[in-house]
Amino acid sequence: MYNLVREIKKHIVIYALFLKNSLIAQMEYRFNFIGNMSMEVGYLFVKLSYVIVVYRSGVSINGLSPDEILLFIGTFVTLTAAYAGLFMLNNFRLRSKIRDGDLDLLLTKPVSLQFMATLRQADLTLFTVDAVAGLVMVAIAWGRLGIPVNLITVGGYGGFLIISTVVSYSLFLLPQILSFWLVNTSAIAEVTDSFWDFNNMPMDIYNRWIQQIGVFVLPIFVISNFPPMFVLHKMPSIYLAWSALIPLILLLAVRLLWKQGLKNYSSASS
Amino acid sequence: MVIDVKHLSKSFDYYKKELGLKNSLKNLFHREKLSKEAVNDISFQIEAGEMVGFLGPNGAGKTTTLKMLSGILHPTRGQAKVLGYVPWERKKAFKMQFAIVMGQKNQLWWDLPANESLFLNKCIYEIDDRDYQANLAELTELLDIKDLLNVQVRRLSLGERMKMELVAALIHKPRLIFLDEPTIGLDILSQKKIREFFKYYNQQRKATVVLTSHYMQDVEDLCKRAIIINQGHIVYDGDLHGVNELFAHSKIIKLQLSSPVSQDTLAAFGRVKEHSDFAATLEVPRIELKERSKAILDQLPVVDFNIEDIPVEEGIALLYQRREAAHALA
Repeated sequence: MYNLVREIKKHIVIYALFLKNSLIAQMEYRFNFIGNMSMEVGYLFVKLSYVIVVYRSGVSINGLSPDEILLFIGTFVTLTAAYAGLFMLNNFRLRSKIRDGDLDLLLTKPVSLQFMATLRQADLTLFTVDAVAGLVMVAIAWGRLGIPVNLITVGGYGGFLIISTVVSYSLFLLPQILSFWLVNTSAIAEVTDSFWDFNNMPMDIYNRWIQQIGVFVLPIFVISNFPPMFVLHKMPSIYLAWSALIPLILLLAVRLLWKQGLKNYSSASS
Repeated sequence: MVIDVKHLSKSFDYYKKELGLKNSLKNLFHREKLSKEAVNDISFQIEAGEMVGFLGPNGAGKTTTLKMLSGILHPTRGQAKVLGYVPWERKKAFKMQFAIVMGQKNQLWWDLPANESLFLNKCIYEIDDRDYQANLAELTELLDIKDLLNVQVRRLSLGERMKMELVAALIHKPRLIFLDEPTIGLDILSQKKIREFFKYYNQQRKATVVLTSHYMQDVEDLCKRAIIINQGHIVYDGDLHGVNELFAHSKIIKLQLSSPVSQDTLAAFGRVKEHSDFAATLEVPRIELKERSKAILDQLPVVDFNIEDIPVEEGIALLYQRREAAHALA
């Protein structure tokens, strides 16, 4: 147990260094960094303009008010920060690492290879801008909906954000792991990546069958629907149970597939 | 014993595609799977503190062997114990004790100064602050790169970068070091510096070193023992200079001449290996060395005369050819 805690602590310290190094690496190119920041700030305003669009149009989806829709969109933008800022870059690079034998040196390090290969790079400018935009939208909607600020609502929402982050990490990593067998999986990855945008709007806009598939078969809707559904008291108990299970199932699936795939790793000739 | 390898083999699957689009279309539906035996039934042992050169032509299986011994690849068959561990089980305790340096791969973050990557390795290898500082100071001093720690890696020269890679690989004081072409592409001075460094490092730390290199000088300077591998098989394992004993039936005579001598005249004394106006290199049978030497000195305008063994490099090349010929006959 002591060893496990020590290992977790070590991995957290190393992850903090990965984030720091990614940021320093971005900052080494001053003009590009400032340019990126400016562009992201521009996007921030574009994303915040969603607020105006939602209220001006006064649109209501399957009984969801504009405030509730804003809560969904804010959650989606916040989780996009985690996915695009922390995971996507690594996911995209994984297949070239496998194809070019770039996992060789990582394999010899006394830390988890999956951790090293899938969390090493981050885009913190994108992460920060999306997270700020998303959380501002969530805060506006939260206030307008009169949702109480207490341990259950805030803690519960935060907990669901963590679950959603784990689900998005695992779900979008799974197809990339197939590269251990297929070497190039860009076609599969592009299809699955486009699934991310299914979260753009509340799942209520889809019919019941698609909703069930999106929750239980390809659990894409779990990501940005469950946190707002929880605070809006619109979560059926089966979804509550599923939200406890699904991150564990997906993490286990990723772990097993990763280990199996690694046996297939053939490096590359030097 | 640090490394104990028994009947280790590794094969890779591949397929062939004939030229043209038509064959690519055919390939979409059917591929004939072929298998290449990169390493075939090799066995050897390496003791603590040894420096062993792993030699062989391109594609001989050197790097594949190193990758299996460092746990990067699973073997197809056979067993190996490295530092008491099965390497491909990738136990943390094993990984903490060895390092691998690949001349064609880097672990340093390209866009960061090297000290950031080195600090990351400090955390990865759980090195305490004092050891880290002392080790860093010693390694950078030895390799003469102390002033470059704060420079972005991509701005370093190839030689400086390789030295930084060595610091990153050795910062945790590994007991065993695998070096795969560590001097590839480097200029002669950098190669020499790195060789001197490893000689010193091996003496000071008693670390075991397994080295592959295409530069014979690397192996001759550093390793007493050589394991020569060709087409996945070990063709020689022993003293590096013992390779020549396999070809002991010949000797090399090097001559400096005061006036030009034709190649035909020289050929009467031995096989002419090199020839210019005022110099010649002849290969003569060892048993006739005395008579031939006397005849050369009596009959040719010799100003300088040297007798040498066949160069190790040539001996190794002959070993490769011998193996290939045997393979072709089989």
